[in-house]
Amino acid sequence: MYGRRVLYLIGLVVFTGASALCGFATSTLMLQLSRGLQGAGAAVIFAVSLALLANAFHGQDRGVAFGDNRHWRVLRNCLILGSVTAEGGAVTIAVEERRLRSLFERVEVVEDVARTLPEDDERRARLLAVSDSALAEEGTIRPVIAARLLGLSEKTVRAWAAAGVLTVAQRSPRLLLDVRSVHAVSHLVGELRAAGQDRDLLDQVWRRLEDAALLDREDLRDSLDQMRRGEGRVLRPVSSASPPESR
Amino acid sequence: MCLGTFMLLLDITIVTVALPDIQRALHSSFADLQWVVDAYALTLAAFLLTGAASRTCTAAACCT
Repeated sequence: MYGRRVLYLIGLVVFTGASALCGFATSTLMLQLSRGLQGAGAAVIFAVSLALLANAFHGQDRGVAFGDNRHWRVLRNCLILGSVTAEGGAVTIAVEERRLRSLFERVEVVEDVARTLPEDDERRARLLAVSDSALAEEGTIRPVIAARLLGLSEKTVRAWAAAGVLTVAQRSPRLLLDVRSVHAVSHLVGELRAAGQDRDLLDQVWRRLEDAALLDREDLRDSLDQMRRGEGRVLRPVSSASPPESR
Repeated sequence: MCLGTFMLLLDITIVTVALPDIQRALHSSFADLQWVVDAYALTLAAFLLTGAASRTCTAAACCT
């Protein structure tokens, strides 16, 4: 039929042409057919290149030519393993980030609606419970994903987790963060960024979280409610509640 | 020759990276995307033996 060299060149032309077709594909079917043609070309190159090498090299040289060389084999395996792992890792991170981003967006829509209702409305509590349970279902989040969602570096996210700003759900074998805390912090970071404050983010987020925790305390909330109703019982400021120690 | 072999092995996996963009650009379904990945591997496997056999014919003049 054909000589090996000619067959190799035919394979190369088919492979290259089909690759170009893949690039110019305007529909999925065209892409699939081009990929098929590419595979056919690749099969010819793959089969013939081994025969060409076997023909050109003899004895010990043939082993080296086939890549049956210990150093090359180790390097090749590392390269394959590394590229497959990196590729798979990048894809899963992108998919996970997109999923969580859309979850956060949906939760925020629910929260926005809930905030339009008065605080003592039962529907508000129900809506907030829905958004909270959606986040709770997700459970945990990897620091690398949290970093992308918060627009921070992974190192910063780990530092924030160590500082207690982000709740740690699991420390070993690998660090996992609580999704709800990441979502709460993403609100704060977004607000601070919108206000143009990008410096000392950790301190500011921490301060805001403490304020929120203070608001969550029932005694404070009760006294605020009483104040609003005009009952006039004011919570004493923290500084006067605990007088400075005398030395 | 090594570059050629490298390219055609790379082609099996590299398309995975582009799948999200392919889906956006061509509005493909999930099954379509699976076929984009598999079409290559399937024809590669199918024609590997044919490709090898077609050169053996000339080399050893064994065709009958």
